[in-house]
Amino acid sequence: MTKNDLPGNGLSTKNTWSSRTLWGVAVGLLLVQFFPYLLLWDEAYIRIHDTLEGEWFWYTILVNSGKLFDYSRDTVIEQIMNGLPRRALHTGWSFIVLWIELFGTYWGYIFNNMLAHIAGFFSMFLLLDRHFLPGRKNLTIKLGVSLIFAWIPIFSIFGLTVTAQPLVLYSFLNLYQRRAQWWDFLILWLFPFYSTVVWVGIPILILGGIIFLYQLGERHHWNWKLFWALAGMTVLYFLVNYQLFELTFAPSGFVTHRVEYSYFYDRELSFVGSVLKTLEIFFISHFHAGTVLSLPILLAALLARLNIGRHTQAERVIWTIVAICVFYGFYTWIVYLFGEHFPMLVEYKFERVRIMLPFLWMLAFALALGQLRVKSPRVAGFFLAVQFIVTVASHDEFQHNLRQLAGVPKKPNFKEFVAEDLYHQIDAYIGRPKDSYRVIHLGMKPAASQYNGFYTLDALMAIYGLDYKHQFRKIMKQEIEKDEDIMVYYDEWGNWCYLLSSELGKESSAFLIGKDQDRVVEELNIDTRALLDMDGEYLFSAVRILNAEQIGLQFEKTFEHPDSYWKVHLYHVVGPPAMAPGDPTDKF
Amino acid sequence: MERNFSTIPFWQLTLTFLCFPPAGLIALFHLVSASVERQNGAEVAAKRRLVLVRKWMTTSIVIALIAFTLAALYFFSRAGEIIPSIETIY
Repeated sequence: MTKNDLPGNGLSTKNTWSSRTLWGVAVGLLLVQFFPYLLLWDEAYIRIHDTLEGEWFWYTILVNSGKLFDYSRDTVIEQIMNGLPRRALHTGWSFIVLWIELFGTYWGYIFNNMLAHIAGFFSMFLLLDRHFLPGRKNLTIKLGVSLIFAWIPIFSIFGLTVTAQPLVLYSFLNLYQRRAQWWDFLILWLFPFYSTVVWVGIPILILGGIIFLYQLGERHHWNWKLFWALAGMTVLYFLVNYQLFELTFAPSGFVTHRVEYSYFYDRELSFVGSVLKTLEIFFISHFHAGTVLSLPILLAALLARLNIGRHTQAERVIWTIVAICVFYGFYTWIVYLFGEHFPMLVEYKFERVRIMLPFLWMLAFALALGQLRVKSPRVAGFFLAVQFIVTVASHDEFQHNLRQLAGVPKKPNFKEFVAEDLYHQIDAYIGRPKDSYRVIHLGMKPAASQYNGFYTLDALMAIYGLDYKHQFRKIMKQEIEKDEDIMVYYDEWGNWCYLLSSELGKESSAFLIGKDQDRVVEELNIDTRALLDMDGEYLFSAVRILNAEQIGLQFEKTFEHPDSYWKVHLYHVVGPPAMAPGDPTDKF
Repeated sequence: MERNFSTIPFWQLTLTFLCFPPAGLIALFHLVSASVERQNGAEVAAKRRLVLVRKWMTTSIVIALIAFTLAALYFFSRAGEIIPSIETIY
């Protein structure tokens, strides 16, 4: 037995830790990221970007609507945008829906988040242990890399989209090597129920297809098991996301606002810009996929190359990463050259393949460390420690929860964001059934109102009607024409169908104005007549509007609550003064 | 591909310079000395020098990674004011 074959961590032959100790440490460190939930209980911070402001509450609204599986063409969700087609929202066939049904909005999120991170740990470990670093020698590397992968700040609203990628590859490789078991089929066929077809479905199917074709080309032999596994996955992705495919390919009169997308609304067609974008995603990945600072991994790979003096497996993975980053960075050029003939390039955005970057980086890291281990065990351990520390530091939810615990928060926690008590006060003051009027917001996210059952005209939506977008635009036509930036933002993108103000701007912070900020808008030029035409009777504003009366808004009351992040100035929409019969004045 | 020993010190030196330039200078000194010693027939001393080049490379990597970790900690504690794509989260 050589010293490297000793059971245990495989990094050091002195004071070798037992496997059990290593597992204990790894699982312990894995669970540390969930301690803030235990300590803060129902007052933890949950990411707002795309989560509380959108995706997570869409699920909640769907569950509450009772129309989860009603995909008929006439079904609408009345609570959003005067009747958003049900088909524009997520599928009901998702584990996420199940968690929300079982545990509610908040605890459903916590449960799903924990599950996604824990799944990441075990899925990476299984892949490495079976296919890339088999045996006990590399236990520390396998546990360390799996731990880091499980700490990457993913968007768990996408389910296991990121964290189960290793598990999917594990099953693909089992099928490729003809040693698949029934659970490999189970893994591949359950994946569509817990991942998004938009983000990962297509790249994963392409990856599986490449493995299948490679084997066919290499051995001239059909791998039927792999074929059926892929066919099953494809069919299931289609069935699970039937409403989305139907809306996209057989819309039957529904025209999505996405047809007016301009890919270039926030992107420049410049070579330097594309290079910078490539470098940015290469060195820090992308927040939708999960932040990964790649410098230590690159160094480890370089060192491994020097150590063994020949090309390494890690290098191949890194070249794949480079290809994805270049594709992402230069996608603007692809759209510019071919977008007119292939609109799908704009509407689907194939550069979403970047979702695979965190997994590929971790795979490259494990392979590099595996090659480093033999000659430089301590260096390999050091690399693991560095990568773990920077990954923990990049975990935004964990960091914000630490700030909550330390009493120095930068963002509202869940309880403050949804502000149930505050909204009860507003509801009681208005004193009418919530479905008898519509509300709109200024300086705040409509998601909190939606959570509290209010019917909102404004919303963050990935798909909604083009007609509605045009109708909504009339409300703020004068206002957005003051500032080309926000006009382009709405006209050429428009997923944020929010009431925009030239004074507040279009940054995320413009819709997260808290009670301590006490901001005002001096001159808001909105068409309250158009607002009334859409049944918009109340404006919930996080800022005081100094010209409210001039534009037909009647201030009612300001609402505050100690548990609320918001201070809501309630305005009743009475219509512009020029609405008096026979009055020819029309300033709008 | 066979291990090409002659190129290894060059890459070690490059990596050392990239990670921590002062260590790169020291490694360069050892590399030049090793070359001189080899020409003078002091093969054992030259080999020792090459080991030192490797040690300085390791040192420079450790220094670079510590600096990187500290910078990352600082960066993420302030993120939101630096990189727009991350600002949306923070």
